[in-house]
Amino acid sequence: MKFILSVVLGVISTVGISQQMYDASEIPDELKENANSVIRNKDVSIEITTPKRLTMNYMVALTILNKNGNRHLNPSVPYDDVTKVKSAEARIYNAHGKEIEKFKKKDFMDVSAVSGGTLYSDNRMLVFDYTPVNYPYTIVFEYEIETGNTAHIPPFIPMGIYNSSVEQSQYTISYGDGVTIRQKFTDPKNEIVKNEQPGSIFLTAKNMKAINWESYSPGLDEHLPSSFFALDNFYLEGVAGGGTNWSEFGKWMETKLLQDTRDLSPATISKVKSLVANAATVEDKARIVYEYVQKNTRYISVQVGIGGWKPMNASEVDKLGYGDCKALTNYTQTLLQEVGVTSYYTVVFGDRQKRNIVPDFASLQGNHIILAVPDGDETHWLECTSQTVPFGFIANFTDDRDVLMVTPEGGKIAHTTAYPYNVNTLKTTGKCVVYEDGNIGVKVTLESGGTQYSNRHDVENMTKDEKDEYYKEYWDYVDNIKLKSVQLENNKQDVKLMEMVEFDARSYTSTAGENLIFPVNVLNRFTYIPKRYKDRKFPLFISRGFVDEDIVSIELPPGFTVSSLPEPIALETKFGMYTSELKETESGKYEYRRKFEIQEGEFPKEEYENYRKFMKKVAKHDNQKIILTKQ
Amino acid sequence: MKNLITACIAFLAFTAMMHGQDYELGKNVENDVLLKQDLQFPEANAVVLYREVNVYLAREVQVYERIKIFNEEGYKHATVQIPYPDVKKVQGATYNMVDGELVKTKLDKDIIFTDEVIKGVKIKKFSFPNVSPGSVIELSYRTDKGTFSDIYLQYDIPIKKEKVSVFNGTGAGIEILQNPRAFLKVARRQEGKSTHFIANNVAALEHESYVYDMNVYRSFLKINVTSYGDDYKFNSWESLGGKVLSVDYFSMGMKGKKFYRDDIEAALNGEIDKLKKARIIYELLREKVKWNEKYGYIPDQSVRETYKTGEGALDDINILLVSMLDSEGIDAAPVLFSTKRNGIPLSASGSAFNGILASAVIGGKTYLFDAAHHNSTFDYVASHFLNWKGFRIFQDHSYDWVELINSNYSNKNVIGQVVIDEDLMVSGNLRERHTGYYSIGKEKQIKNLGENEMETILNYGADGFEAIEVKADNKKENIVDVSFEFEMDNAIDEIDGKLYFSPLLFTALSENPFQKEERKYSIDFEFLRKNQTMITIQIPEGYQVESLPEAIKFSLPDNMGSFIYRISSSGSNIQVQCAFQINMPLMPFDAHDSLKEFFKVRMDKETEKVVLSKV
Repeated sequence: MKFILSVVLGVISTVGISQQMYDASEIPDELKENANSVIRNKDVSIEITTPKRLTMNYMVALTILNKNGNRHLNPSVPYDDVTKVKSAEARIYNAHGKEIEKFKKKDFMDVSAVSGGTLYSDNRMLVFDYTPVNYPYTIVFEYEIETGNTAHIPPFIPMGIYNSSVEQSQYTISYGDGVTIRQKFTDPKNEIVKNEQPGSIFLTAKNMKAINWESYSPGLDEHLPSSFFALDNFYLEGVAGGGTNWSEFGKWMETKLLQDTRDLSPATISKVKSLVANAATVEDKARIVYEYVQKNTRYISVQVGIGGWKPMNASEVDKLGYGDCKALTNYTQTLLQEVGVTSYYTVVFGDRQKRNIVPDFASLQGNHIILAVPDGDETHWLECTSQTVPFGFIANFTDDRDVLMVTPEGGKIAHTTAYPYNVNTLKTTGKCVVYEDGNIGVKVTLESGGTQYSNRHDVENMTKDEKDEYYKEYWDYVDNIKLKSVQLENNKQDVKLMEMVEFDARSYTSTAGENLIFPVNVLNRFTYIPKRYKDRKFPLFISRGFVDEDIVSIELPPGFTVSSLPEPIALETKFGMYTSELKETESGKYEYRRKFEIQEGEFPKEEYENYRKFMKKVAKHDNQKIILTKQ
Repeated sequence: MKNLITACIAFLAFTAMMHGQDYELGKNVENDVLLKQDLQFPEANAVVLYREVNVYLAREVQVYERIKIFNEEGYKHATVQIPYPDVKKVQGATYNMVDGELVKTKLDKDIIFTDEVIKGVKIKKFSFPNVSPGSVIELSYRTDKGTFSDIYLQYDIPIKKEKVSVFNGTGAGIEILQNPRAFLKVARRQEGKSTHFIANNVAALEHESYVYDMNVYRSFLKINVTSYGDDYKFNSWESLGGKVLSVDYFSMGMKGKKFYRDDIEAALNGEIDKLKKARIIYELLREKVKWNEKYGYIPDQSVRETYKTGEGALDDINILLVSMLDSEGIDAAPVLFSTKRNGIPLSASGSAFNGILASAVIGGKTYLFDAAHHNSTFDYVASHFLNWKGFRIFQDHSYDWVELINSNYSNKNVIGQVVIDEDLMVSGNLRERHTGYYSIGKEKQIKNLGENEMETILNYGADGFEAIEVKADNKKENIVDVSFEFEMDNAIDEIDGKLYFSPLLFTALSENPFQKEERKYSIDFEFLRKNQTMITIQIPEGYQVESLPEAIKFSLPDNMGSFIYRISSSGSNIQVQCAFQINMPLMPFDAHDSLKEFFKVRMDKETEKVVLSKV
């Protein structure tokens, strides 16, 4: 998606700085801690003389301490039809700051910048390729670009990644008389020094220590300083645009990017009308149209010029049977319009990690488009790029976040459907027969909903071999599984997936002398224990919760008994709960019941260790074993 | 080298001959659109119904493909990136059945994109319009240049029928080989200067574990140039050797020189033992010259240049090593070889080899050296270089074949002391010694790590295992010692007052790597390996050993590998020892069933429990 690419765009100036020596031994020790690279100096200077002209001078001097730091440098200069690369150069220095290699502009490779998942785009970049022989080494990379796009201004984010510290980073933005600029400034720990003058803003940050990634932590951007900029009036691929608030910005999108793309042939219009002829409610109509789109289109991404922001015409999607997220959303919207159902083109950050459109800062944001269909008090959110997801189902990618809805009256911030823990269910109901030789035979039904449906429903599209691998991986603590049958029922109306699986496994039990050791939890064992942190820095953040319920009957081989039943377990914490119990139902037959619940939420960092303890206990109880003795 | 080939070809006149193609756009497409499932490949999401490739060497390549899309999962095969640059005459269409009628949608020019992936290289990309389950798509194009590149006979989806014809009007001698590692039956027919290949029902290429690179097993045709007129023939190993020797950088390069003598004398410091001298020279060269990541078997620069600039390709560096060894009176010679990815050198051709190793005969024993690749050391040549046999060329222009194997075992020895305390907490310390290829692998992991990531070099995934104070010592060549302390939760099960645990704890094999029902490709263990583990466990006070697992020795057929497990107790200590050994690094695919059983036995034994009861 073009939005993403432009975020990478960053940069500029360099006066005399390359004279400086970059001796790696001069880096203060505290900046080496947890660091794979150190930004020795970064200097970005942006000049916007008119809403049609932006130049950027970018310079970064980055010392790479080890192999993991190599990916911290993006060795590319992005450009396109409205962006010119005026200069580009890279120099490599060894550990002592001696220059060992130099790339002039002509040494850069000119390649197309088509990112994964996109078929074609007109973005290009100049890249250089340096293979380090020794560490540490320093790269000084600088370039200058001039662009007619001012809709997206590279922001100041002195530290944007993990394990990279900052010695010094500065940013200057200067602008002409006809340019009105807005700023979104975030600096929770006062790390940025700001100097504002008429027509220019100067920002600088120094000595920021590298941050280690921690599991169950919120996104980095919530904790780090940043400054974003936007113009009240900008140009985007030759198209004038603007807006000082979301309402105006949305209005611009509607009139300049969307309005004239909603065309359909009379044949298609009459076809879609006949499809919904018998549908009574908004939901019924929308569902029929959505399923029609799913059946007749597929996702193909092509981004050329303004086409990176403006959808392909609905009639074109109709003709080709494919489009990107903008095109498919717009197509669905146009079809719905023809059958009298109102819907809104909606800009969102699509990501597993929940990320909001910044509500109080109207600017080009987001990386994905979905469709909002208001229906009384509720809204159906439609993911138009998938051939398989159920109507109105958006778990794990666009759920529970602020989005920009483009309505004829202008842009509005809305919030998408959340999937609280109690809808993210997995019910495991099964039977396990144990044989004297330690083998087992299993017949089980897994019923999933919510995010767990989302995690599992891909199994429907797998080949036999892939399914085989999938279930062996799912029950990876059971070795030597031989699948006998898999049957699936995908109820899209209620968003429930049923997986009926039968398998045998050799040597499930282990032996101790004459006895068999039998791990009681055969079908849903939780084995992941979160990593321990001596000095946790971030709060505990549980993005999505779930509820698992298991009922498994266990049949022992004839003549065997359980020497003693384990005590029932019941754990209750602020994060969730766990119960498990094994009961004898009749001679030689037992029933194992288990429930495990984790709720979403954010807790102070001190709670992380308690959460970890809870997980350890769950893992321990899930690993409960019993002794089967022969009479 | 490559340039030379192209240049030669360009000058050769070719006799014109154009054979008519067999395909016809749109012919009988209706039946294909009606097809619901392929009987041979009922699980396929899409199949190539017909593929025809006509290669007019040095002139053009014509490709035609007809693909059936069965369901949505097959849609991705409707998006195409043409594998040749600068093609022309791209024609295509999608065929669908709509209300009982065949509807054709042409591939319009304006949805074909030209992506200039690198300045000067233009690739056509597009996605077929109107694709739905059942669609048939059809595509044809021509390249405007001839090409000698490999022709795939196998895709990630099945191919029902394919026909490849190679027309050689160039006057150059060629041979066309099928990848010998792929099991594909191909009918081959020679007709004057044309060679035709036909294959039916080619299964999709499947991905498996313990394989060096899946492409090694893909079915493809390789076109080798064996001669250009009379003065450049490659049709025998002798002629290939002769060609290589005619390059001065090679033939002069393999002889001893003066320019490095002072450096060598200083480094040798009077050493006279030949093997020790070889080692010192090797280390000197590694210090002086860095590899530029390039391969090749005909040096592009003189050994002097390589030495002075401190940089060179694989061939530049190893020919220099031969020269340096030779200068000290060591019986050294270059060995041409082919990396695993380049395939087995089955017949003489320009691409049979892609690298040079140095060999030396010292005390009657042949040694192989590589002073270029990061994964090679004096004692161990990078394992993916050891591919079948190498072609050794002597100064007197004679040659022979050398087995490219490393007969040294690589070892992983583990020694641990473990204490189980009254609270059933397990703690202890472990020392690992990695040698040979194991040490090279570990070394690579360690090299670029910071102190606080040291625990990531351990490969134990057991639940509840936590390592503390991980230390690594890689000061000795080919040996990496790793030591750490650990604690482990959940290692002991207390049931009815008795304690059950696997004495190998987290070091036990927890998953069988061979679980597939069937195996098609050979199994690559890369090198001879020997793993030995010895763990001593102090049991908690108040408990006694009730039972121990039985000792076992289990071998693979033909002694390809073995596994030994022994355990004993005395007083409050239990000692367990186990040894696992692979004696044949590359096993044929039919060893899979034996391996599956072998690993199951190993895993069952390694996870078997000791039982302790109260005194």
